[in-house]
Amino acid sequence: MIGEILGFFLLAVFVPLLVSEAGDLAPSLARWLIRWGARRVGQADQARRYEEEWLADLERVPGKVTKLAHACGVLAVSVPRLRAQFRRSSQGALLGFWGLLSEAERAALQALGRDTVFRAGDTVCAEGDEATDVLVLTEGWVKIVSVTRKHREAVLALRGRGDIVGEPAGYRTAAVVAVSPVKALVVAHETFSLFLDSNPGADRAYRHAMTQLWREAADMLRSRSVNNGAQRLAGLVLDLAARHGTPAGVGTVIMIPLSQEEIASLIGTSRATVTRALGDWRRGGLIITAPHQITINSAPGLRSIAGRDTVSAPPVS
Amino acid sequence: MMPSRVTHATLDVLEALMGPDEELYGLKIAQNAGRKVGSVYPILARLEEAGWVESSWEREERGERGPRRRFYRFSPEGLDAARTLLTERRGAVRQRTARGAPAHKPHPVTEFALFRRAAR
Repeated sequence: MIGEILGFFLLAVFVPLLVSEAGDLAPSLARWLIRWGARRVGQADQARRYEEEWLADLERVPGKVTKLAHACGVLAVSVPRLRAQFRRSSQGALLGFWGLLSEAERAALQALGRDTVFRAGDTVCAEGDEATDVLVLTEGWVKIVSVTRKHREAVLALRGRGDIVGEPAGYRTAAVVAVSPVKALVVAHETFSLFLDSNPGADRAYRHAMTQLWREAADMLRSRSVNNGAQRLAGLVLDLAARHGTPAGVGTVIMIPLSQEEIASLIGTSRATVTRALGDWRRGGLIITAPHQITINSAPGLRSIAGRDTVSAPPVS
Repeated sequence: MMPSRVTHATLDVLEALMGPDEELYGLKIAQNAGRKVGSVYPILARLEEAGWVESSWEREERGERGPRRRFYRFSPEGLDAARTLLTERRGAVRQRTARGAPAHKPHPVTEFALFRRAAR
């Protein structure tokens, strides 16, 4: 008898109460989950953006429990995927020499050098200085430039995250200038040599990275005599995509943190040629341009312009 | 090489963005595409990174009316590229729009279905 009464109360009073409480709590729990998730997406500005965007969308989801399910979906799927995407495109992906090192080798080298930060426009190394350090770029871009007698700046190369910068010995034969905020690991030359001596894997990585840079430089020299400016520009874009591109689902995104003037100087052509070629490719649907950024929609198209369609290009990712 | 990386979910999202609606936000796009909203936000982020899609806030300032929606639309180049891609992969450029009840109306059946799924 008492059991029955208790059972009745439990069923008739507590369960509906519990369900209605849970129903009332669900929307605020959903909002809390969204906020918590958005903070884990990436940088502060990305977190703010997704928090507001997701909360606004959440308001338009009908029903209390559906709101909670919606929030769980965002938390379980969107947050980890966006996190991975942003990490890959901003700092995560390991590239160049740095990417060829093993985790242990990276840690060892990190302990031997000092992390240094440069602002955009800073001179990282001046032409003619004694080459005492080697720099490994862990973030950002630098241009390698030489100033001619008429005070015109010739851009010799562009180096990005993961690349190694600095002569093996002697004097700096060109200046290194940051073109974006840069983080670099600066290692004294002696220390770096000893590190390579005691780490065969790192030595291989160094030689591999150097060979790739030499090959690119040699390709550029050769193509100056046989190709026109547009062909060389296509080659540069493809090289950058191979070395620094991030796949974006529908194409490959590359950053080119140089002005068109500087791009022209780098590939030995005129600014007008660069502007014209980029415009032609954009209208032809091969690329999409944004400030300092190019998305390659059709790599085969660019390869055929660069005259590389017979040679298989290195994989992009 | 490029189209093989494009998933069916991405193509569905592109079709959803083809719709005539001017104010497409994440949730709406997911409904139009018939995809889970959780997987749609990352796809939109990738399309935005690639320059195919642009996004902007519902209004300038974040006011008292609560959080603003983020509206997505094709960039001019992105629209061309998406048309080419959809023709290549699906043979035609179709628009996807949600059928059935408008999004802002509560829908008891959905909630019931969710309860049932949770109980199982």
